[in-house]
Amino acid sequence: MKNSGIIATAVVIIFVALAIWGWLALSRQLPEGAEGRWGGVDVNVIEKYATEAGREPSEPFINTDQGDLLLFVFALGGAVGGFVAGYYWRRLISEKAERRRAAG
Amino acid sequence: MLNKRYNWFRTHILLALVLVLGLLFLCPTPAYAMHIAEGILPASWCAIWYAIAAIFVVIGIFIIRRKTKEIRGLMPLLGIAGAVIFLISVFPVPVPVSGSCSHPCGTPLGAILVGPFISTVLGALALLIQALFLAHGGISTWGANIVSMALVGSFVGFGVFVLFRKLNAPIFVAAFAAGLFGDWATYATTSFELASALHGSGSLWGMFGAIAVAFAPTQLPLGILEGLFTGGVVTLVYQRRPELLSRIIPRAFKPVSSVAKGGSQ
Repeated sequence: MKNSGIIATAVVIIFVALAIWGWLALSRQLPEGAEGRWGGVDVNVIEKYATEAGREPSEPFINTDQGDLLLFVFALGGAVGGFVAGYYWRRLISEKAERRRAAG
Repeated sequence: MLNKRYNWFRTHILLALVLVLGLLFLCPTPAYAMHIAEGILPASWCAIWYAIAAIFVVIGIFIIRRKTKEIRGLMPLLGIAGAVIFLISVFPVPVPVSGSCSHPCGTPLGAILVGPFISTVLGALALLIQALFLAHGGISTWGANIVSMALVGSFVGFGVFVLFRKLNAPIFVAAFAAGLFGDWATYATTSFELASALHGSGSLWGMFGAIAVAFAPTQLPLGILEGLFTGGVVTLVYQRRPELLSRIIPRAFKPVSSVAKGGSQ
């Protein structure tokens, strides 16, 4: 179809508009969860419904949620993940593009 | 002169972005997210989700073994996709107005970069690390989390991307739609997983609707964010190294009429 690309783009725009409307409309009736403001949906939604159904979450297999230990593992994970992504991005995208430009 | 200014601007904007993202990554908070925690699902449901996830993960592992032999440069792409899925899926984003936090999935982007089966394996690995060391998700619920985030996120994202490219949508629009619908499908699946295991004598679809509506104020805007991120990265990779992407899904990366005429990319 000739205009299918334009129609597809229009469909996406309609969905985005509906999503913004839904976000604003539903936010007003959102009850505050156990974690309060800026709480995560894991606690405010998943654990709320699970607890109502009689399923309490149990302790993680390796409980790093103790003191600042969780901050440490998150920082470590973020740093390692960021380094890996950056290293391969440079190797695959930046260096190859520079080499291609240099080759003319 | 103009070029010099542009380069200065570009360098400094990039530096500022790297600093902000670096600070965000280096000063993180515990992830507030959608992964189903340990102990929430009954053992029988854990087994069902494990079985479904295992089929796709095993196929994905075979595809990785075959494709790494066939395609040079796939390993670095796997590295990027894996790291991005891991980082994005532990990145809590505060959502204004609703006042809650959640995270995007990263798997729709992974699926466009390396294919849906491989993206499922990468998502499964990211979820395993998170469950083991970040108190995020759980070992018993690993299968359920693989199905919702890794499997459904990858396949819906990939399917939407291919469909939109077949409809001649520009790369950015197709990748945006992949991120948007991949993210929403993930949360719809999480709602179904919870509802199917926990509805008891009540209505399955009633509980599914209630959970989905509770997710909506946070996930509707996050889907848009995931779409923007996916669209931006795929467009950037396509502009710099189009051959990388066309090796994974050749037909989806053929120039379309709007692109050939210099339309938006």
